[in-house]
Amino acid sequence: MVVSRDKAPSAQETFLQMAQAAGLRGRLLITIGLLILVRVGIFIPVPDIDRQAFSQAINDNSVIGFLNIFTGGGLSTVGIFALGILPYINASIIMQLLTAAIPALEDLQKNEGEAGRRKISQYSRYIAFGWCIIQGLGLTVGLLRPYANNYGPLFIFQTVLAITAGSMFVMWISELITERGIGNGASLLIFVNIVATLPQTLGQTIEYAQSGGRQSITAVVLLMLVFLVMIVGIVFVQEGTRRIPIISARRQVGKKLYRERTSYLPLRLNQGGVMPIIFASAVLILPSSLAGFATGNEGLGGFGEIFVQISNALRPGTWVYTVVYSVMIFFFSYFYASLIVNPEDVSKNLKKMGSSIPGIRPGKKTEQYLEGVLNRLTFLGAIFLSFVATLPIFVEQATGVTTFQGLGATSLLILVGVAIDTAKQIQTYVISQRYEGMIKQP
Amino acid sequence: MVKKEAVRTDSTEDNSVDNVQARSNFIAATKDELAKVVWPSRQQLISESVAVILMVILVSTVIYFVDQIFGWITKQPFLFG
Repeated sequence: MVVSRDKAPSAQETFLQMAQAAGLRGRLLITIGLLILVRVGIFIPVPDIDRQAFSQAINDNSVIGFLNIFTGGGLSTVGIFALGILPYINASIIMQLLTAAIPALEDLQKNEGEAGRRKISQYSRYIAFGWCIIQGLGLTVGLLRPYANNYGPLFIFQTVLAITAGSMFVMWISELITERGIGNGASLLIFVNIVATLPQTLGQTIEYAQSGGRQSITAVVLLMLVFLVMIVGIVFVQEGTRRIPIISARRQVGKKLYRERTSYLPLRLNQGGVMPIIFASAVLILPSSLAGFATGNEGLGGFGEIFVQISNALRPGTWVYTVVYSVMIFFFSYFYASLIVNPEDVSKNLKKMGSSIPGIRPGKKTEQYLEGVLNRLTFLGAIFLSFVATLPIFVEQATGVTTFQGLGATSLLILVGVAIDTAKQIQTYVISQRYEGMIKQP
Repeated sequence: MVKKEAVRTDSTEDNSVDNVQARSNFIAATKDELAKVVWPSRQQLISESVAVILMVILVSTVIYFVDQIFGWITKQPFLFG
């Protein structure tokens, strides 16, 4: 197979070379093996629960249905991996927020190098463990109580223990994948969990198409086309970058004179990735979960009614929902962009390296310039995210096909993001092996 | 020396004009920013879209069969009475 050396290999070349590169093959097998191992835990049941009744009840609850997608069906089967990687991801988000808020943690991350990052990872694990116990208790007391065969302190203890142990094991596997496999472990686990629900959803959609007439077939085909266009659109925007030119000053080291070099500072159009949508979805899920809690609680009085009314107004498909969702996406886009790229830090680093942006003074002016660019890019990214997030809602309303309800924009963005990142890691590996081969040639 | 009388302008009116101007400036600047964004080439776009679709199909197929096997095992009475 001839591979052009002047550009990155295409997807087809990458997939073909995966079979040839020995080191890559090993990493790939480790990744697949570990991902399969995670699926096993979903089928190992937590004892003393009427799983069929619980699974039936979950199908009618949109909130838990949404979470069930991210656990790959682990929640509905009440396996020991019922929470999956979710506590670890929540812990990572909490840690990110704490790092931005607490100067000591910020210093640890920025100035302590690898040791500092390792310490922060350790803190994330502790938070994940604590969060796991809290979520495990919530799941056991709040959801599993009516379906327990012998509900009591022992049942609570053994269920929380099983779920926490399972989640910690999944966290360990995710770190193993990151270290010894291909791609980011946590991202790949979410990817696999989302993908695991696809065959069932696809089956239901085909069933729907067969049961209806020509109209339903047209609706399904239209929905598939929209999803396909969305995938291409997401790839297009995810890969769009604003390259800010950077000139490195002329330097003299000993007798050697290094001439000024031009490089780029790449800023992505969508800095926060899928995070703004996840946060916005979580906020919008809150009223319906509060309403669910309120309907079963007489002590809340008038508040219960208010929660139910808010929940009804924020039902997916209503214009209120769409507007609030878009506003939330905008808010979290800016919030997340400010966490990821700090113009002040970038400006300081450029000054330290003796680099500058052409036509912009180093220091405060550079910071202001970067802030302006970032604000405008985030605005564009937020418009795109709002469009991507609300499009499936309108398409589902227009076509009447609701089988893909759970698999909305969030899932699509995650699927595309993780697939691109993993493919790029494989490509990097393939390219590095290719150059190694060139060096080894006599 | 003739003392010039300061012309008073209504501050709220000024602010609203400034806001409109700032908004139009922001939109114009955002348009300029969009023009400076480097988009992926057609080849890159097709390649990465194919990679995404292939990966989703491959992984979902593998996971489907794995789930079927494990699902069948858990239903065996000699294992989980």
